Amino acid sequence: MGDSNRLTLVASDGGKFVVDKEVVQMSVLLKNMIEDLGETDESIPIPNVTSPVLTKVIEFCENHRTDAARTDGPNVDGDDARMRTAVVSDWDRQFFDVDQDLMFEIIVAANYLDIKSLVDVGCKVVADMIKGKSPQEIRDLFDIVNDFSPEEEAALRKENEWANDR
Amino acid sequence: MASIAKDHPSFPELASILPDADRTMILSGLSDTEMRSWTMAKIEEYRHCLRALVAIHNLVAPVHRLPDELLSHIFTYAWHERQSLRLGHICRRWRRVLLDTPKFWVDAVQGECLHAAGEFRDPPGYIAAVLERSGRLPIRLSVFHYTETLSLSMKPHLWRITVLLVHAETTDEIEELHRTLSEGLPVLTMLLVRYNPERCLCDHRDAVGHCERSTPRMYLDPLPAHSLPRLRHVELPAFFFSQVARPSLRQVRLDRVDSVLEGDHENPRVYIKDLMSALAGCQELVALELINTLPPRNDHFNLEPRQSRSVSFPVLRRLQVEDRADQIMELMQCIVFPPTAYIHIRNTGIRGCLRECLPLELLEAAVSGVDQVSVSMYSAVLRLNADGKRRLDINTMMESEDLRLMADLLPSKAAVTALAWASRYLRCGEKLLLLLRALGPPLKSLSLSMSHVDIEEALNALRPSDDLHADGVLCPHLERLTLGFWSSDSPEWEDTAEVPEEVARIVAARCARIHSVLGLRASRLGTQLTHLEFYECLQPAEGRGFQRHFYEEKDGVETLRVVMPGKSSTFWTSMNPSLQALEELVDGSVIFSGFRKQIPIAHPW
Repeated sequence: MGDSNRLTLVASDGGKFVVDKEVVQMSVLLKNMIEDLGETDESIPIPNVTSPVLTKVIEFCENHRTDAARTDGPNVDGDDARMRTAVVSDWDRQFFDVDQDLMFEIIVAANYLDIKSLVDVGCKVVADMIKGKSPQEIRDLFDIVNDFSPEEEAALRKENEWANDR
Repeated sequence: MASIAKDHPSFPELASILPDADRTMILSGLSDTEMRSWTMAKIEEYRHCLRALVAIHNLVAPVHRLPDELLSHIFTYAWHERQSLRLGHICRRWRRVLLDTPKFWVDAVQGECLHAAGEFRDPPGYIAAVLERSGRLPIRLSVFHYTETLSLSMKPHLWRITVLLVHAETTDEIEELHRTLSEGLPVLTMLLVRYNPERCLCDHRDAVGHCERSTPRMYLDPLPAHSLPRLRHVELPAFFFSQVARPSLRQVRLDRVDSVLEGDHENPRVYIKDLMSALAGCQELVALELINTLPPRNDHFNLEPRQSRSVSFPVLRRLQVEDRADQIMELMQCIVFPPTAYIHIRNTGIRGCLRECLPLELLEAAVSGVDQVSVSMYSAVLRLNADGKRRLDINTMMESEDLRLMADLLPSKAAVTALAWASRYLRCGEKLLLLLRALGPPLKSLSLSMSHVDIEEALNALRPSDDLHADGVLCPHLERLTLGFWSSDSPEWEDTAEVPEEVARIVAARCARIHSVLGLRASRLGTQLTHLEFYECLQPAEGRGFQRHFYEEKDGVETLRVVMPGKSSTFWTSMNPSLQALEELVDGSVIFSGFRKQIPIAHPW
């Protein structure tokens, strides 16, 4: 029997990660799985998450392990409002200073693993990236092409007027 | 019939990029009409292809690995300003997801004050669109001008408006708002109406534009009883309160903007009888603020009797009244509240002293149990605290008679342990001593900021007389003493890195004077202060070698600047012996806290 406080996660590419149960319990998905499995030496497969992404997710959870107790409990509207206005910390911003592929994979993985704080921080970082930018700057940033039809473009012109500063 | 020959000069350039099948078709001998028809069909086909390719390109962009729910989640953090609306112009997917993210549109609604009319009027359709797109979520709405168009746009959303702030400028807008409120806003908890009547444009103006209308009141029906079932907090023009008043209210602020226009029918008057009658329906009030609500006594429109019945607010914790002295007195005589409530009075008129603002019995109740008193003759404020909580703040003139009254009331109703006094005027010492003698032995802390002449008078009073016994010494249990000396004739002090010798001599003389008084007190009482602080209020230099401190008084009332000589300056070298002599008489800290630009307002707590 191994250390009952630790468990092994297996990424989709086979990479194995031995982590503290307390750390991974920031993931509601893993927390529920651990509770269902009880005391066991079995590894937990994470089929949708690759090793580089899982490495980052674990790094985030380890850094925020002490936050977990604070964010437990019902997500009342007031909490949501607080979360929406909270500033992203320097550590979190640094954490997401990676290429776009990895950044979005981390957010998707956090959503799959149900780690609310990581999803929130990731989405805020992306929101901060697009604030104050023109549509073309945003398209360039994310390599998106304007796919509106001429008719749709015409309809958008009216809304363009809305977006002008008074 | 015409056909395109292979050797047509434009053909290679035009057709070389087309697939072989298309090139074959072009060369198949189609008539011009057939060719135009065929090319039109092909254009449409390729447009579809183009859109499909663009869609595929966008689909595999890293950002589009996010499912809709996460893209939507990003948008909930993305409202910044109006420019943020252009997030819906990035691509079709972003637009679809954005339109389906009500939180983003709630932020658009709540992120700024919407303008239904006027110079900054929002584009047609904007307000209706953002309201519609905010879905079914609760919204807090701020609007400039309350027009009929706005009212129509809001109508489908009244059921989810929790806070409504309206900046209105005409009675028409108030009437339109009244119609909306009559329809019912079931979750509205806060209603704030800022009413600034614009220049009167009615038909009753005289040659110079003054309104001649003689009936200044606006008649609106009371709102239906169940129209605003959750309303807790209102801030309204006083004339609109009667319509809105209801038992659910906990916090009320009423005000009236004075118009410079003589007729002023846009800002109707409120009579105390009507005001009290409306307030009588709100007996669960916790906070009540009445700001210039009543007409002045000499108002020629005010023909009604001024008497009104009293109204009791058994759970009131805060009462603020700002008005002219006679109106304050009139209101205070009608309002009954618990003795522990915090009262804030501000006399906005040019006449009226403390006794003319507050009825005697109310003042008696307010001083009961007070342990801290602060008087600022400088800013005409009297503050009373009890158990660390504010009990009474009055901004009005204080005459000698007022201080005599306080000197009579305080000893019998309270045991004051701390007194702070600030004054810029000369010969206030006598008023201070009147109070100081009345407060008697309980006083442990005394803070004075006043002219050096008056402080001299206070020190004389604190100095034990030869013919007095120990129990006859003024403030025998004094533990903390703070003295701020103000000199109107302070020496010139410019462009210097050092405190002038003359100023240093003055400070040394203060030390000597304090030393002689404290020495006598110590020998008579056998006890010492635990804290002594003193400073000079003059116009010090700001040159090199001085430490400058900027800070804000409590309540953000006044910024104070303190200049302190550098630690290595000759000032400190010359001061040290005097300070050391004082330290022998104080069982704690002795602080010279520098040169202040201004007299601080009195309240140290």
